[in-house]
Amino acid sequence: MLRLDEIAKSFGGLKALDQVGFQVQPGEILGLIGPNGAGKTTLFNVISGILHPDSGKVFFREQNITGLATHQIAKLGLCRTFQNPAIFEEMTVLENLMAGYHLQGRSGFFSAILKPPWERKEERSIRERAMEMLSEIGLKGSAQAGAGSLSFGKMRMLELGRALCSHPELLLLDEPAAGLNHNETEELAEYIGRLRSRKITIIVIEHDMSLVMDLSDRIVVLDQGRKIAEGAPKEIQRDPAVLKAYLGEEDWIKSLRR
Amino acid sequence: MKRDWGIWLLLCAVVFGMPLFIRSPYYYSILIFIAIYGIVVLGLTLLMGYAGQVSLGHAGFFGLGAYFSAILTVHLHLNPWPAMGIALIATVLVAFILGIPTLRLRGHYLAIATLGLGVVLQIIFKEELELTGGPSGMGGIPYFHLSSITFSNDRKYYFLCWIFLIILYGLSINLVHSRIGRALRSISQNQTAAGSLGINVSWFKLLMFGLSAGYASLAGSLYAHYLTFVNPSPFGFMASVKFMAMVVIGGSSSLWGALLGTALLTSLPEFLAVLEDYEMLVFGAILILVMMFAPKGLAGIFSWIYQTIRNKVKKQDAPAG
Amino acid sequence: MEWYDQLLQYLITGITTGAVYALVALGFSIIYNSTEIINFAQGEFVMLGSMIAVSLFPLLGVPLWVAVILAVAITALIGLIFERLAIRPVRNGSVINLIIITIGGSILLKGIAVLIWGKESRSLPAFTSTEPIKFFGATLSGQSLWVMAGTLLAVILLHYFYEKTITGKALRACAFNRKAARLCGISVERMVLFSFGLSALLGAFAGVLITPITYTAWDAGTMLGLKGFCAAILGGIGSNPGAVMGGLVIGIVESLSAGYLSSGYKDAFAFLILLLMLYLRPAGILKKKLEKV
Repeated sequence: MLRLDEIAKSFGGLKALDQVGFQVQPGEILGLIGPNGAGKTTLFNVISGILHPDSGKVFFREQNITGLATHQIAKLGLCRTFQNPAIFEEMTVLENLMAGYHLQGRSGFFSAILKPPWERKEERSIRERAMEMLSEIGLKGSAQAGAGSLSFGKMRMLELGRALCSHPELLLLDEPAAGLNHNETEELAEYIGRLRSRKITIIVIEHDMSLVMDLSDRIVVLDQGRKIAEGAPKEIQRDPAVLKAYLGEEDWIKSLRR
Repeated sequence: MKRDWGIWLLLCAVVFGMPLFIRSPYYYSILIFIAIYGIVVLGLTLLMGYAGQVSLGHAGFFGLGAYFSAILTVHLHLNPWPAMGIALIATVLVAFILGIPTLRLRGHYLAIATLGLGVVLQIIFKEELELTGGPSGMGGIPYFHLSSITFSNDRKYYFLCWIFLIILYGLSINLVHSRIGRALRSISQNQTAAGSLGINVSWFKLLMFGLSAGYASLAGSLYAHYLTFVNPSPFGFMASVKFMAMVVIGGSSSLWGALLGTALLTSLPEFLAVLEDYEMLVFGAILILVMMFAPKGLAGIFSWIYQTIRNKVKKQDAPAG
Repeated sequence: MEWYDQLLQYLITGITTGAVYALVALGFSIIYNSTEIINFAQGEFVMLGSMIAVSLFPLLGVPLWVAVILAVAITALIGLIFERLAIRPVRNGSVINLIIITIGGSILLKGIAVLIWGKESRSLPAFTSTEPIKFFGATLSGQSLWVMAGTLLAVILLHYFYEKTITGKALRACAFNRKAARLCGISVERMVLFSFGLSALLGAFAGVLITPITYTAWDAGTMLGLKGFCAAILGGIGSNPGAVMGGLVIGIVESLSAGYLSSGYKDAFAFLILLLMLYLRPAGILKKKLEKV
């Protein structure tokens, strides 16, 4: 599904990513963990085309996508969420989801200004599908609310729902549980679990260790821009290199061993 | 969306009802200019309010439309209608060529490029004596014809211009409430997120830039065939600034606000003419004061009043019900 | 005149006007660095400086140099007042709104100038009645020398100010990272105020230097401002050495093209360079890279 070859990226003198490479199998959920500043979000930015790597290649479904623009990569079926939910705050919740269906729509400039019947039909169907997605993510009641007025947890769900609207084959989730309370986290975990049955491949960055250990089929650990471990959650929890990387972060070690 | 079409219908009613009340060609000419500038400002609102880009050179596109129309009809004896169409296509082409390299860049590079283009265009209008008549301008531009109707008097031209405006306003409402309108608004709020949903950010910006240039070109053609004379002076930097001011004072994220801003700033100088030397002073002061105290423009003020009244009415209803 | 004499003459003219553009561009750069605003009233500071000097000189019967210093000082004060009244109250507004405020300010200042001085153009006598200097085959007027020397002095003083004084260092810190500057106890508000005063001062200085050569009028600042803006962009907005370079390049290109190509298109060349620049090197001649979308 996704193959990273020796990705390197530096900012000034700082090596944010140093020869990172791994593969993601179709249908798998891969956890990406590591201490703060390990380069996880930078890696996401490189995969999704927001940043371009200094060297190395990204292959998505055997196609080299290094250097493509974000929207071109999205078109191939790769979508992502952000650490701070990047919803469109001045649009309604429903409109946010409808924007998520952008790639599903066909209507161009002339049909937009002239509104022929088929364009109206397409708008209607997008609206209906957006409503379905709303009930799926449990936000049906807030369809017409301003997206900026949602609680943080709901914003996260909205962003996730919007990403799913584009029917991705690979979904990158950047700390989906950050800022969520216990109940919200459980709902989220259950929802992500359901996505697995839809054959969506997922890479998830997460600091909540119990969540990531439960969800993931495999885990990749980054530290200071380098991949220091890769394997099943059980192996990672015992890996001495991983424990060393997290040294000094007592809570984390505890959660790792749990 | 319903509210937008409501305002559109109201505008239609006003446009067709107005001639019952006015007789003086002076008022007609002010209304004609409001329609012509309104078309430029509609396009500029789509660009500024919806695509989040600033242009400081739209008077240049306005001038291109006017001069293309003038040159094609005077020198090549073309019928004004096809001339208007050719002017439109040529102007949009110029906009695309200018826009492609600059829209890739973040920041206000488009504003800078348009400023440069606007100034250069005005100089070309001044210097190409044989083509444009130079600083003293060129006359003898024919009127529009439609079978036996010649759009030569102010009353007829009033209808022509406002029908153009009404149609373009309607098309703009459609655009705003479409897949593209949604994409545009998402771009203006968060470019990165929009890109990650597969929205081609630079293409949509370019599209809006070309479209707004097209609106300006149509308005320019209407301008040339109304006065039957063009000279370079109304197409300079100050004119671009005034167009931008109309958008901003009206409220840049609403189409009807933009029209309100146009009406205000076009008729204001007529009232301010009494003030003569104070005109610029007052114009500058208004611009600053609106930006300081009503950054969302007239549309913002009206929305606020509307909301306040609605809330008051609700409060009064509540105890009764 | 031989061709090389002519070329030399064009170069002298170009450097003279280029020096003025450089001062205006420095003003743009200083304000951009502290606020990210493009101050479209910059050209009006130039106009105000020269207009005030023109009216003070015969009015007060003071020596010319006193009138010049007073005019520069008064304009700097106007810059400070402008910041306090129109920029500071909306400092948290969007950059677009702030830019429009500076456009409003520019129109307002022009309106005030028309009220006070009317619409006719005025001039100052040359600073000194030096004989024009024969320089190979070209002539160098006394005032041209004043312009060049004045600009050089201003650039050196500015450099010294940025490198050696506390205020200058604070300004640089603000330009680099406003939040961090604030955390270090630098009052960003004061720095913004100061940058408006400083760039008004530079603009006015440019105005008084060039007026004996070119005349001035209520609307003389607009074109000068726009050209200075081109220069600032050409040098990479926010870079002081870039601004000076940009000003000189534009002045020289303008003078050469007016001489060899077409005098009518003289004003267009600055903007053509600007457009070309945006296509080829959008970060300016001195900078290397720019982040793309």
